[in-house]
Amino acid sequence: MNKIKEAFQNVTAGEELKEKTLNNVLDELSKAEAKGRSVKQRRFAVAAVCIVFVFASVAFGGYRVYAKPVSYITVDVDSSVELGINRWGKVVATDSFNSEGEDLLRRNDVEGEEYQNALKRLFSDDEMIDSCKSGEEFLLSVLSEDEDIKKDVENICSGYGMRYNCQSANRKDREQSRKENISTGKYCHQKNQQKQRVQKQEQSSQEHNSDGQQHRIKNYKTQNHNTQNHDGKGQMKGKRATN
Amino acid sequence: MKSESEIKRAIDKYADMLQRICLLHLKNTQDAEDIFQNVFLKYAMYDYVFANEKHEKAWLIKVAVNECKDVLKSFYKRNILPSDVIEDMKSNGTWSMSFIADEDDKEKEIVLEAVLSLPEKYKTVIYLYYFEDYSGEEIADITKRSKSSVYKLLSRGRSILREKLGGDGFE
Repeated sequence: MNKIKEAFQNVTAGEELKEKTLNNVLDELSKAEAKGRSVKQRRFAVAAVCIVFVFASVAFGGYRVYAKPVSYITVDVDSSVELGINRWGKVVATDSFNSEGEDLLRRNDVEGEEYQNALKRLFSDDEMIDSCKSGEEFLLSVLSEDEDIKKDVENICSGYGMRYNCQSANRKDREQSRKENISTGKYCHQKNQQKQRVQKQEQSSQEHNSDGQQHRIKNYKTQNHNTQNHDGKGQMKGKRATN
Repeated sequence: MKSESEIKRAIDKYADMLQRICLLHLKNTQDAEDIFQNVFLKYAMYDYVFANEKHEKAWLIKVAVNECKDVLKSFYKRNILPSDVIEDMKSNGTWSMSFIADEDDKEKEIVLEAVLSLPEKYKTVIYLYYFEDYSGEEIADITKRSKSSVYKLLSRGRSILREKLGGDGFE
């Protein structure tokens, strides 16, 4: 027998806990049964109203409006995922860009939830908590006309004490990232890094040019000085020449 | 809705397993009572018939792990050391851990502490594999992960345990 099995074998539930659980469960069941009839009637009424409402919404194309994402949030750490959010702030579409992201969404079905709750649920996933604890940087992007969404996302990230980089993205970024099959957040991050690299290169080449110029001036001065030192008349000649 | 005798049978049969799952994830014994009540209440209210005992057990594991995760969502609770749980259990009568009181058997406590100190994502997989004898495929089904991810977690979990316990002796 392996030692893990041996170690866990001695962990058992106490009789007191078992008895207490049985009594509590039976209590809850009898309460539920007593409420049952009125709850059933109420449920039937609510269900009927909902059905009418849903049919009416569908008839007016409401569902299409509901299901259309107008904003997008992407999260990248080990997992890479995207949440599509409708105009009511609900997650109506999810997408993953790697197998870790696929697993994450499989474990946490966040469709239909408010985007704040959806993010909290994803950040509470074991993998995410481990990444957060190990100090990995979370790359996030928010594509939305509503600026409050980005603030909300940043507040949630801060609440979890994570190291994050949240960027605003536009439709063009998203289209381009889709073509490269990466998340918008990662695409924006790469774009920024590339921009910084180009800026650095330009800066260093400018510095190099000015250094070269200074070097030439210095060389010229030294040569001139040397000529003057070797030939004592040089100075006089120079003076005369300027005169 | 299930009958009283069915609920009693389930509690008698699966309470120990549930206790171990609570021990893996929870940081105090009071939460365990809530988990027990919630899990068995859900079981009692579950209207579908289980295909077999294996199906029933896997269902209970899934529900229990999810309940524990809900409790664990507080950042504070995640950061209490596993040794605190064991101390808590030593002083609490509702949890029975017979070997903890046994001074000669410290090794088991060390192994248990090592498993409890694993990052969350490894604990369930290691427990289901080594204690419940589930295969990688079955664990993937229960934990809603891909097979490759389960094997990856198992191998990383094992290497952490090897480091902590100084060798393969736990296998």
